[in-house]
Amino acid sequence: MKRSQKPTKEHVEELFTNPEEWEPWENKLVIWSIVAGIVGLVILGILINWFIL
Amino acid sequence: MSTTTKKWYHGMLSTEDWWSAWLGLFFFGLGLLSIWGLDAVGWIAKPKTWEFTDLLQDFSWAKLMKTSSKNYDMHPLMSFFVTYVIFTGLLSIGAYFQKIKIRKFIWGFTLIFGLTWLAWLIGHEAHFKAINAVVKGKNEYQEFGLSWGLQLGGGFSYMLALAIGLVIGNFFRGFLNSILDAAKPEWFIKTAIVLLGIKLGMMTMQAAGFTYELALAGAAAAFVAYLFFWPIIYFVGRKYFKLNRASAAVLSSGISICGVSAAIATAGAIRAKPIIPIAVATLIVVYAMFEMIILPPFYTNVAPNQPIVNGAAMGMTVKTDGADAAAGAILDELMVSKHLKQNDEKWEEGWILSSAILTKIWIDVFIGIWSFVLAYLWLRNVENSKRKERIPWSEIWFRFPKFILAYLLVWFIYLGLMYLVPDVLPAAKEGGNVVQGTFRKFMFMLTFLSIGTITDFSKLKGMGRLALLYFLGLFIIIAPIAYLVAWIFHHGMLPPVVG
Repeated sequence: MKRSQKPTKEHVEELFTNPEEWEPWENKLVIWSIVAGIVGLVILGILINWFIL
Repeated sequence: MSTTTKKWYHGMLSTEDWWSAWLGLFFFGLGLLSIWGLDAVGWIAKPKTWEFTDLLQDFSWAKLMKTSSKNYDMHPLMSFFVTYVIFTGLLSIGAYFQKIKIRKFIWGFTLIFGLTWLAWLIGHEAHFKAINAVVKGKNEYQEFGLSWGLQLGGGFSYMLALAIGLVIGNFFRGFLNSILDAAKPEWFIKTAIVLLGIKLGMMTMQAAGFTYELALAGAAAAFVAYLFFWPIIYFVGRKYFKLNRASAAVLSSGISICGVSAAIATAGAIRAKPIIPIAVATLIVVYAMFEMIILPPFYTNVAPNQPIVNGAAMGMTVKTDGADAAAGAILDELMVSKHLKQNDEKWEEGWILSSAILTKIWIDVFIGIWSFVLAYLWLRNVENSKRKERIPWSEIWFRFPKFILAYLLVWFIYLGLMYLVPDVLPAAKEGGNVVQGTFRKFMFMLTFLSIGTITDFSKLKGMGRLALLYFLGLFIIIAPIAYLVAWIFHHGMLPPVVG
């Protein structure tokens, strides 16, 4: 963590330039990640509550 | 991600991460010498609680500070000087190998050392620190005959160091330039976290089952929370804030995992333009400061009976290791003090901080794995027609934060002592207590001051839409999910009571 150089307006604009179309693989990435999160929450949540809490 | 030519030991002598491990392990080793009857750490100076009218009436350095061990019978100022020389010397060796200009480092560290101690001493004034309750048979508040007091415990020292750093960083730019080469909050805090491994070892001796439970629950919570954080931020950034793909990925990693290093790792993995992590890193550093200031008192007052939940939520919400450990330390002090004041019962210090550190550490572990996953996805889906290359598994090792290995090693050595040679534990604890106590707290103090100096609020100007996205992501998405997950995995856990 450094006191980095001050970002210019161009730096910030770079983040918003040419936003690509949302593609199906991004859908998969988002959905599968959230599904894995929900499954993990349920299974690990039950295990932690049974055995630890 | 062109790192195929790197050897496994790459960076061992040149990176801040590795030097945190070396320095932490060196201090740990010094403390361990007490097993053979050698006190190699008791020289370090530590502040005492003092009261200003008493000091003015009869000034004595011995009222302000002392050595950490009675084995060292020296004047408090000599102990202070020895502390300065040893810390400056050791850190300068690390700075030299990290190719930091050594003369500027020594000069800058000297100023930081002085300011840190000033904050530490002021923070120990009884009106700020003393709590009106009996702890280990003593009531400092009544011993000093106070009629009023803020009763903030050790937390005031941390907040004061942070405030001094922020004032320097934002209003005294000339002075700032003279200390900036030595303001290394990540180095200081990672070293302190390695030393916290000793605390974890001692906590395991005290309550082995609870420590393992804390580590397991922290791992589960971090794993689950991260799987929600990243895709939600990515989706919102892409769909509603119209970020391009690389920027959304870098921002999502920065806000979800562990801040600057995750943003840089992700940018490297997906070959984003270098200016993207610069803009994101700026937001991470500045917002981490807001989190550090807002969240500890907020959690303390909103959920005073859920200390471990609060610590774990902090670990998942506050970005950057430095800010998280710092916020965890403030939370620990505030919650222990508040509980003591209200219930006349003292929670053991360090458990709340450890819950914040443990969840953070598990999230840190994801940096390497997630960078690997993203590199694979980007190669396959974004650049599939241009390049056919294999991503080396070694990338996970290079992205893995090495100070965590040192932290775990220290913990495991204590576990080894506990199970294999329990007879030496009392002797080991003598040195260990000084290292995980005074050494660690001093590294925390250095972190608070340094982290303030590198935070420049003026950088938020012109960030507009991006700053808004970060704000919404952090406080509307990350913080509530982190708290919910922390509650599911830690609710009802309480630190042991002193005595």
